[in-house]
Amino acid sequence: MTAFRPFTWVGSALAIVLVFVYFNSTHEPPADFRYVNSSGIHTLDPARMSWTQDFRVALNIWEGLTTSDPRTNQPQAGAAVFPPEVSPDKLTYTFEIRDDARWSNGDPVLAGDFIRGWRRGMEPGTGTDYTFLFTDNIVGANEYVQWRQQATGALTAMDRLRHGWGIDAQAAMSLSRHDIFEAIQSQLSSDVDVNDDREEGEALAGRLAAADIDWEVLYERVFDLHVADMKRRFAKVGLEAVDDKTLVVKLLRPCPYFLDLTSFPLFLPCHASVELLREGGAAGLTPEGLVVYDPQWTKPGRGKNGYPGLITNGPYSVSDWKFKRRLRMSANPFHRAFEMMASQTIDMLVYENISAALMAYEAGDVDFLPGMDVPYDHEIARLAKTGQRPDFHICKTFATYFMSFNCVDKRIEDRPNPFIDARVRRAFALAVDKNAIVNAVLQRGDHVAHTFVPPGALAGYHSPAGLQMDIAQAKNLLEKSGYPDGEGLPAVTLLYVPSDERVCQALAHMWETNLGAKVELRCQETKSFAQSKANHQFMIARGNWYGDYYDPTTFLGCFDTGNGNNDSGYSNKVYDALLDRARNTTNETQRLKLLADAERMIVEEDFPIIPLLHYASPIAIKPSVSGLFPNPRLWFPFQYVSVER
Amino acid sequence: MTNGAADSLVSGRKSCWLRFCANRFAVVGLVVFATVLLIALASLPWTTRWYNVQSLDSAVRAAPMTLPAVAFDAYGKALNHGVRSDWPRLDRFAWRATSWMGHDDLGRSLLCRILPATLLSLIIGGCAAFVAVVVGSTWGATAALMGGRVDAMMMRMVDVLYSLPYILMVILMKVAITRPLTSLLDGHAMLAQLIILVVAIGGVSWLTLARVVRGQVLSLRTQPFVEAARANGAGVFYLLRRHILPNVAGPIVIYATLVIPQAILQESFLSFLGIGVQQPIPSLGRLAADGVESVNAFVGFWWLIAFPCGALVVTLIALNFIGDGVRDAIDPKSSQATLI
Repeated sequence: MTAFRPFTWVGSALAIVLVFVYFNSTHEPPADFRYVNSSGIHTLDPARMSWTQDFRVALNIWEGLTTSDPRTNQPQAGAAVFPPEVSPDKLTYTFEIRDDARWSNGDPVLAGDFIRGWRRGMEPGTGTDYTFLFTDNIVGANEYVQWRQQATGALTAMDRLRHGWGIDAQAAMSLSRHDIFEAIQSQLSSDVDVNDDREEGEALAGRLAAADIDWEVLYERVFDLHVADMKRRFAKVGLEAVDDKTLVVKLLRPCPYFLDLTSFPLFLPCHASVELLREGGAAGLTPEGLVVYDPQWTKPGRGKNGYPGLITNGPYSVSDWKFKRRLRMSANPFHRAFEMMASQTIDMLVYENISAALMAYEAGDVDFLPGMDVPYDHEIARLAKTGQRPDFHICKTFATYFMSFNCVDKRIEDRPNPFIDARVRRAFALAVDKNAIVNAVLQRGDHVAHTFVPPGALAGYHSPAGLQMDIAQAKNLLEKSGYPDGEGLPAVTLLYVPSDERVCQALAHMWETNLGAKVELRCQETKSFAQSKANHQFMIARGNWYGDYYDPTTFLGCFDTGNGNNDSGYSNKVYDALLDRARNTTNETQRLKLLADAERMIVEEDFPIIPLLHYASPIAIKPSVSGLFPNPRLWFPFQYVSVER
Repeated sequence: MTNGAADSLVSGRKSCWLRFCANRFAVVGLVVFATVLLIALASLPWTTRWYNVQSLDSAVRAAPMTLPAVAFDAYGKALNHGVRSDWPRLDRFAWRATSWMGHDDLGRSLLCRILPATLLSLIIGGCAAFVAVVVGSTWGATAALMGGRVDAMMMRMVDVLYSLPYILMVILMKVAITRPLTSLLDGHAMLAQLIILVVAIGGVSWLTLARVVRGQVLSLRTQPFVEAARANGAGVFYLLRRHILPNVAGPIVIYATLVIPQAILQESFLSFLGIGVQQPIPSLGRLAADGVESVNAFVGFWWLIAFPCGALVVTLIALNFIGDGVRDAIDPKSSQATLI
């Protein structure tokens, strides 16, 4: 018997562990509908979102003034009566918020909630990449945002100075742009004339720190003035809650896609309870003058200051969020469609590895895969196309995959950059066999792209033709720019992320054989790639762009001089002028024609990018699921979904 | 005394070789390895030109032994050949051989990639092993001979390096020296990468050898003939060169033969993770990594994974057999000629 004792010990230890594991694992019933998000969501704050998977959740838990049709993405009724009242000059939109529009705690949705949500998108502390959607369209928004940015910049600088921390050149320059600078300047030893120059800024920063100024008093004065001014300034923005249920929006110029924008996550409302988590003193501003909310406001469940947890007005609300594991949504009982919603609970599961997600789907643990970026996606596409797997669908998306050239930097890593010459860019573009890339390398059934804006997606927009492959002309162009047969051309670097491996090797081979160029492949992990690209540390780099709203400007705006997404650094006055004229044209046909002319410059002459393809995205929907429709933006409203079990 | 040592080394060599030949596995390993090396070297005139010839047509993922006729032009172009009838016979044979292992997802001949990849892996492995042996034996011998505080300090350094995860060290090394080395080499990124790989792998493989050699030298140090030399006023380097190194040569050779396959494996592992050589230069780990992507629940392009892994396995097993054979041959006491 004694010989068995160790086994008894091991056995009982194992039993204890098993019991522990059993009771420690939660036994929630599976959700009615389960889908997979490959990397989890980045944020639930609509003002900070820029990823499709985040949009997908946001549009299910919130509801804008309009919503997007599940098949076509065209605007349809949302929290407001559809269509809203539009003035004859198309500059004033009057939204009547429905009486049955309610938050997930039963509160009625008010016009003020929309103003609060939109304002978060504009404020320097809360808004991010998409602030331009407001400032480009809404009366007074640009002035307000500029004023706020200037003031917060100056306040940040003065806040540092009053603590004796010293400031950098940028802070000094932002202070010099503020009205208070005149008063300061008289106390500096000599006159300072600050242009946007780093050295002068640094000199000024030193002088400001050394100056004999009572920053404490000055800061208080500016801060109080700013707080008093804020309300008055914001009142000039063309957003007005005429009464609790009526929102009037005044536009700068007619915007044919405005109702499309109001379904976009940035234009979602925000419940008043968020103010409980506002940081800063009585004024509700941080010392830097920013409006900041505790990031915990997007979490479900009670928080500090009696915060009730995230309250939303969409068909669903977030009931549980396990970071990087699972997000559970349950139907909002106060939503008007509550009775009709077949799926009461939705699980968004996180699988970092899409192949694993696909296996879970095959095993029946998942009902829906909104993306299948697996290395063997060509096989998925083949199965979908041949009808062998009727549950695999191909979504033609409103997106373009391209290669960007660095058009500005003369030297990159001690090497001259040949791509400042538009002819070289054009030669490289002409030497690419896009058909081979789409049909032989990728075999996913994508659409060959000769233009930046996906053609045919926008009614009334006539895309330019773009250029077909022409190796003879490419060689000719290269010779004209001083590199006959690629001689003298410095080694070209091609920067990409691991998923582009095959395409980029094929591209390199095409340029090597067709043009005689020497191409160095450089693969970087996604995060460092994004950094390199933003810092212009590349000659050619991969890129893709998903259209945010149905208008060519969502694409073409990327090449406006100074646009935050202009990674190529492309700058052409003629192009900017065309976009500007289009912005100020009231005639829709004329406007689209101007935009097409602008696009022609990109895809037929200057080539800041080589458009390669418009994605066809495979998705998998279990046959037992109904009410899910492939759509170009890959936004999926789950309120119509039902699953037969 | 010294004369006697040299004598026994010479006569040892002969008996070593005999013992090695008596080991069947070792001989098979040597033959296989020599064959692989020979084929890889002999095919270089073709593979260096063909390893990146892409035929984006019917050749994409073409199965082994299916001959893509369209690819002929591309291969010919790379050799500066004209029409097919003008090709020399050898070239035509080489062209037929390209399809023996199938084609990858860019329509490149897998054989033309595996052969130079094996060679590259061997070069990297061999160089890394060399670095490891030189650094490790010098370090261990120096520590043992210096003794005292220096010995303690040197060996604690080894201990510290031992406790660091080697992948982390390799990545740190790569990050630290890529840029300066590339600019030093006048922008030859490819060469810089190879050197970094060799230095990185060699830099983490010398630790065990340093300990082994130190132990050996410590016991040698107390031997009468060393003490006699020291009493005659011999310096550290004289001792090393004359007495110590010839006597620890055995363990060093044994260890070196085992480090080579290990280094190849590490190179493959790093390339598999994507931090080895950059595309389109083939290495066995890189090819295996590409092949793994092709294995899935729906369809298997088996040749993309089978052949690169097969080449890796064959090379490694052959090298390990050789290593074991050499160990048994040099130090017959260590094993009773049993291998597995």
